[in-house]
Amino acid sequence: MSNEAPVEPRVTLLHLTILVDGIPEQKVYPGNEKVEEVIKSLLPAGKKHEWQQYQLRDRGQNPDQALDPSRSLVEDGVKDHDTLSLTKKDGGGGAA
Amino acid sequence: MIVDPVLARGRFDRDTLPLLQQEVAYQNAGIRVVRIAFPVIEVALWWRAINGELLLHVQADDYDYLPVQGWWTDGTGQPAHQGGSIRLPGGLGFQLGGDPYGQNRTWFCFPGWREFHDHPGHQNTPCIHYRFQPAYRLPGLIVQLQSDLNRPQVGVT
Repeated sequence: MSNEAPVEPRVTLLHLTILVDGIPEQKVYPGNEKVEEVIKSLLPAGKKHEWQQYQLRDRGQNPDQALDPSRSLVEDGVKDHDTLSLTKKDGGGGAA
Repeated sequence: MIVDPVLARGRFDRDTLPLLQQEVAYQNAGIRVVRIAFPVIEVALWWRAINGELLLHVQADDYDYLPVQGWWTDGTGQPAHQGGSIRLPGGLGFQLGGDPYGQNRTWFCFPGWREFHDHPGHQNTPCIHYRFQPAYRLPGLIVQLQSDLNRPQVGVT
């Protein structure tokens, strides 16, 4: 029987560029952070409760598809040094 | 001309600085800067539906007192028209013609774009409400438009 302490799984840190309000911001998130929490963290205090109106997209990993907010960044295929964009799911357009 | 042109240019230059300085970040997100020269921005937006780019012309006269105008171009700088050589998006807010000024040009029926706010149907949403929100400054408008362009509900004409 080994006396060695169990090895804790390592958390992957992802260094990301995220376009927020159209401006690139450098962010670091644990790879197991849920996308829902990432979206909330990027919104100002008064808008966090509206997080479901927003989406994160990663053109590199999921060509122009929104990331699933119920999954973690890694589960959604996000990789270190990816560029994401935070936008509204619906820009408010409509037939005139 | 409504705004002091020097002031308008200063605001334009300030707001387009990220597009110039962090070009690679935008390119990774599907937005390729072609030309920025006050009061015009030309960018190519990645459009999944055609597996290619679409050229966007942004006209920012009187920035930022008035909202910006925008339309698709055909690569020679001329407005693209439905039925021409360029495949265009239609549906949601992507209009193929009949802008509020009677011009036969594509336009964007989204908050923050001048045609939207000048349209008789949208007089209850004044542009002043959006003007100082960061998401409706020039980079934010372009990134949101690229996102909307790639919504599955947008058709190809």
